[in-house]
Amino acid sequence: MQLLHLLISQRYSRNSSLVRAALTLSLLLLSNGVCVHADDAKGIELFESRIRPALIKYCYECHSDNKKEVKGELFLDTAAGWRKGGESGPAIVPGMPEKSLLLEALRYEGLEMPPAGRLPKQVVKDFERWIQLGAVDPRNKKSPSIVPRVIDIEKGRTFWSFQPLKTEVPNISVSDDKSSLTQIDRFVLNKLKKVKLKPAAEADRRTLIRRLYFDLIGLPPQPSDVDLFVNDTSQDAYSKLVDTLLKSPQFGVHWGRHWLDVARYADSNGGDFNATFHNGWRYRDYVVNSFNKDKPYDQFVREQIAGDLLPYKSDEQRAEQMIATGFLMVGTKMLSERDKEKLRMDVVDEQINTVGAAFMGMTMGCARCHDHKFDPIPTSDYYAMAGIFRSTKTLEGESAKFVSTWKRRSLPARPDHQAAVDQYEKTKNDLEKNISTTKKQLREATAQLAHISPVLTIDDSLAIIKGDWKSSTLSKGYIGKNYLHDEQSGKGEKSVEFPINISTSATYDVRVSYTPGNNRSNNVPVTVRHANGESIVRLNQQPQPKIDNLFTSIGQFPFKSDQRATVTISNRDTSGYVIADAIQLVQVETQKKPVKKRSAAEEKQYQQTKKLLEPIKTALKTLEAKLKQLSASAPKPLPQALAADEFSEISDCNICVRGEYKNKGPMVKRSFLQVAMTSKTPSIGKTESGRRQLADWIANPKHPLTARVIVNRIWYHLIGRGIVSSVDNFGELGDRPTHPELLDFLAADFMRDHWSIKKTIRKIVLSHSYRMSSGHRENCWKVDPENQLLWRAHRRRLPAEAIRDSMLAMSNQLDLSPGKSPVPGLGTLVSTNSANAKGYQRQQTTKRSLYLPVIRNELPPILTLFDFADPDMVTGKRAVTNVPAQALLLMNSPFVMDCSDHAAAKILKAVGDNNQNLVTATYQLIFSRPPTEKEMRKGVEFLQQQFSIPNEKAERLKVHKKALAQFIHILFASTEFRMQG
Amino acid sequence: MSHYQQMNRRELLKLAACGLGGVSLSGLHHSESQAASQPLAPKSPHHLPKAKRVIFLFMHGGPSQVDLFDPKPMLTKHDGKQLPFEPAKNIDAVPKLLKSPWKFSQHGECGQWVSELLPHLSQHVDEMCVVRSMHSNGQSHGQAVCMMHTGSDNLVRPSVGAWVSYGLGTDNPALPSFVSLSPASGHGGPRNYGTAFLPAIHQATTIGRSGKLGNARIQYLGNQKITKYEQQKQLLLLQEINRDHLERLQRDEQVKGAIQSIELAFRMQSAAPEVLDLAQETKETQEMYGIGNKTTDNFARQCLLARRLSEAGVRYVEISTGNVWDQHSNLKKGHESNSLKTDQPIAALLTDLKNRGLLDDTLVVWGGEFGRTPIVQGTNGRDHNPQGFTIWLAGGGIKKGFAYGNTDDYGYYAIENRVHIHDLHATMLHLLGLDHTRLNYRYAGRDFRLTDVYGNVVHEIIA
Repeated sequence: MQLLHLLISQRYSRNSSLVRAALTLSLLLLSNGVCVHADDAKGIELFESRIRPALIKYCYECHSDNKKEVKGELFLDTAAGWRKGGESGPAIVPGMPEKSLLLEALRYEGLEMPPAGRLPKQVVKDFERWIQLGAVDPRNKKSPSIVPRVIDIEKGRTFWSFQPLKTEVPNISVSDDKSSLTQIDRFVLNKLKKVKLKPAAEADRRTLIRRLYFDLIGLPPQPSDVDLFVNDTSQDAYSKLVDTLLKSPQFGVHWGRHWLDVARYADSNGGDFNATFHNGWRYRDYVVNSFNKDKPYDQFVREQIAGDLLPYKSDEQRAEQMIATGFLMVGTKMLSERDKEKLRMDVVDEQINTVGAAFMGMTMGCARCHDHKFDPIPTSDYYAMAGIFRSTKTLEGESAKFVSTWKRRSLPARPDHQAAVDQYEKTKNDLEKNISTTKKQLREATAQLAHISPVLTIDDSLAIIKGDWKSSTLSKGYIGKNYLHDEQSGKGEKSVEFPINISTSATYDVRVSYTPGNNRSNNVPVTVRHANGESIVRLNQQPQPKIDNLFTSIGQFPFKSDQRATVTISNRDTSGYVIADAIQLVQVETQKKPVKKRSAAEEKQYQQTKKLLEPIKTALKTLEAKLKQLSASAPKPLPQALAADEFSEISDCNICVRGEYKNKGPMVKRSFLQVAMTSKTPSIGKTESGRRQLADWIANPKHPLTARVIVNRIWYHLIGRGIVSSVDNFGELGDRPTHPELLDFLAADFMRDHWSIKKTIRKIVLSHSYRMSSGHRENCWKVDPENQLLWRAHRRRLPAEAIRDSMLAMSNQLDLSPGKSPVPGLGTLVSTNSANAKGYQRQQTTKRSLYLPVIRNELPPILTLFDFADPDMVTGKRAVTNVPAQALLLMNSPFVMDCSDHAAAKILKAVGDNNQNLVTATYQLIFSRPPTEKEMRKGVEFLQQQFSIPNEKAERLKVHKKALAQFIHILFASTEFRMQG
Repeated sequence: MSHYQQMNRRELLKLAACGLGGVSLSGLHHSESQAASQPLAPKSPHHLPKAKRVIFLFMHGGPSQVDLFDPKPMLTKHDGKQLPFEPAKNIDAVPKLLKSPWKFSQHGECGQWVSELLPHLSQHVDEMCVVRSMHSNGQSHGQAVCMMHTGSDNLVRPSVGAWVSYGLGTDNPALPSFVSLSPASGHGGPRNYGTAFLPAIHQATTIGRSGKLGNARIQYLGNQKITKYEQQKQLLLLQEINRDHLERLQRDEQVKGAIQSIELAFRMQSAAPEVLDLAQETKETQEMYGIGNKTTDNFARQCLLARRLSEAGVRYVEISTGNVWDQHSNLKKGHESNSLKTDQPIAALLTDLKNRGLLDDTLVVWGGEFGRTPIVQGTNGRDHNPQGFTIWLAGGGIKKGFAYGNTDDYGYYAIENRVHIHDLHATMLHLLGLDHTRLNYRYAGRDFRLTDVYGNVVHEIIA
């Protein structure tokens, strides 16, 4: 042992810290009971008397072998246990208390152990001393080995979804082959034959046109469209219809929404601080346009991950690509988190989860804290990607104290627009600079004057406060440490009284300070108790205060030095926020009474200063007038986008042990998922985040997941069930493909078609598998009750948007024009961030549901009740629920009743008041089919018996309309309306 | 009645048979047999429960522990002096101690200390277990409120009530399993009563908003525009059309489920208004809660409504004060006013539950998202303090007249028998008969639970 000691120390004698480490190592070896050093004796004594009992008492409960589950994989019941350490590494560095995680935890710095409360100070000191002495530990039992599950990437690659696409089209011969069968159908048929099932016959034309309309554009066909199609005898009637719908601009509205579900799109942040995404809608429109243009999907992927880094040929392209990165930006964030590094890592996590699930069907979140338990994704892969997003700028600046806000980027504008704005900005800056200098001059001059004429300022901290005022620092430009507002509540119950103690009796100009704003009250009663009694002045707190942007004068009043005086701000008879911040009294000189006896020299100086003031004031006025004029003719602001940027400091990321960023593990080079690499290590430069390389990797045709995931999403939306049913999870816990060859065929064909979404959709809807009837067949149902093998078409409930849009369309109210910003009037927050706020007030619109504002925490009930995608998470597949609240909404909401009324008016106008005609027209409008005989009888009966029909024609019409509206209402609430056959 | 007179006998009989629209509830048997397939059907807990339901009184904003339940003589003694150790990071307060402006005294047989702010509640200390060593994550409201309600201060997770509804279902199919009274729209808003990835049915039905009960209506429950009679006629035809639809399809669980949910909706429509109607209570009861008194009226209504909902079988009821406890300034005014508004109603709720024999199996939890600093913010306020604060529990299996845990000499950091929010959640689930490590839901490749990988049941506070 001594020899070893010597050897080591000689070899490393140039480096003293290494020597220490080596010494420690040798001590460690010694302490295993071979021979005992003097210090070790002390150490052992300390261990036996203090440390061992403390370990038993405080630590063994969670960190010893006789527990079912050892916490943090750390054993403290053997020396080997703490030497090896747990998930965070060795628990003790002998001789170095400051580097020992155990002591850090006992001191509650970072990790907090034991969790139930800090140990007595003496115990912590004992540990410190013991570690100092070399942490001698005679417990030489072997540490039980936890065999950490090492992820075998090679083995992982054998999992079906990581396998390369099988691009060979298998030769499938189906004996009863028909020429009408497409390649897709052969795959389906092949599977069905194996269980001796036959596919259903083609659905009738009424069903087909309805199915196509809802699937391709999310809207119902008009009765006239239905008639045309039903009566079109041409061979290509169906494919003509498909092509028409694929060309409709409404296609992008419907399919764009599918993607927005995946992209967890919203117009506000939600979470803790529901800030408005004023520019989010540009991303929404980008998605809609991309689908309408049939943008190649690989390009769509690249743009959303790294659009800001891609080359461009025009400003339009530059803008489009920048906006695309909104994909990374629109997730919900805890903006008011005060620990900003934690927030940063949480944002990174959100982005990794989204990118993983959206493009690759991988659940990556698990690997933040430990190696993925099911999929071949080690923690190091997670942090390899975390390095990329941590080097990406998502957040920038604060919108309020402790509250972060996100990166905004200017979009390229038309040259004339840009020039106008530049010119404007320059003129404005010059003017503002000028004004600021002039103001400074004025302030300095006034200060000199004030030196001679006393000014008294009284802050709210000195005031007598009645009622519940809220202290705030949100709006800038207040006196003292804060200002008060009345929370717009308790009107008449609150007041702030500023006591006045002046030493010189005189007339004073009384000024009130407030932070202005549109939501302020415009008639705040300010009561001045002065030498001549009481005066009440009404103050408008909306405009900017005139004096130094701080104070507004409310008049001049006499005050006596020996008389109690006050200025009181109350919220009596006000609406809007009332602000109380400070008041100021500035002595006014009157002819009768000069302010103060000044010496001749002072008087001279005073007069000189005063003279100086006038021209400055005039100059300021002129400048301010100019600025006002300029602002009035300002060009439109340059467009901005919610867009990502590269971070100023690019770096790899440490592994955060257990996902805790303070708990730093080794650094990981920026890279992607090892199991799905398309080539060797990516080359990511030192000055780039690596998003470009990430995008290229995901959009690489050799990537095993990308094409499979997107064609599966398309299949799911058209067929009703994904080939992989868990559309966002292609991992171990996801479902296996029911038709793996078909999936690969579709994916390969998709890439051959230049990643065209529309071509893939066309291919699928032209197949017999899509066109089948959804009718029930007991024999098939017994074999395959879930219809996994596609012996019939799946019946599907309409998505929330289609339910709303159909009602609007059927009642002639739907506005098909595209929307612009859905949140034009909203401030930084969608509504005040107090729990007492009424919340966001929704504007009515009859545009398509896609254009409704997606305000997180404030989604429209008609959408959420029918399973609208929660914008807080990636949703490739919406839930389909049946809850009573849906029925209550359909039967009782004013919206549905209003649509019924409008539809009734429309039908009555079109077909007159014959009950049979009315029932027929209603069925054709709402169900795209005529009523059956029984339905006709029931419908007519309902219309007839509902009311006794009056004789007056006008009255009759009214009664008819009401009855018909109620009948339509029934059909809107029916199961057939919401189902797609 | 005139509408009913217009109906003929045949129609009335048909309505009765359908169990629709409040004419009859005879359809109940039918639905009970289907209960098994319904997500809200009662489920067996993991072990014998001590509590069957929860009422959570959420003191939004963060009530001050050192001014209500955790007296600190050292704080009084060193008022105005420097805090002798480091304050928490990222706060606005200065490290200068601020004593409580209120007197504390001991109450009940157990001798629990309560400040003079809560004269009514202090009479119930022998029913309560006060936990003085709570700690949580999140220095801001958003984080801490979500932590309290979902067990996560940053990620989107299901709320406690949703987990309980998912774990236990509900006894009364005509009412929701989880009701949140006047929840806040900010600080996480619906996330605090939402389901995240759990099935949507477990989300709370909300009544009122932001601490105000308003007209105490459930959205879309009832129709102002048409008469009951008209609606019943509509329903008759609607369900007939739906049944015909189902018959044509032969087999369709979706459509079948929709038909059932429509039926359930109208059972709710007739059952819920009665439960929501506080006028059914005696004058004495109303007065005991403080209804009619301007100060207490709003919160009293919420408390009484909570009792009625619990009694009717709602599994989890939350009442929120609105964000009123956030006294960064004017501690004295604010806490006084909040105490006046809530003290009597909460005391009455305990009395009422007890008198009806409901307290034994109803778990009542009182608390804010965090406490407040013993050091001063501005001149007369306190900042947020998740480092140490007090909550109390009563009823369903909780030790009576008991105090657990301690903060340091100034009431800043929880130091003895610390209880994290995860531990509170684990304990609440335990009392309801659920093992927090076994109440799982698989989503996005992993099994999630309310307490994530944390949480220990605090057996010491269980009777």
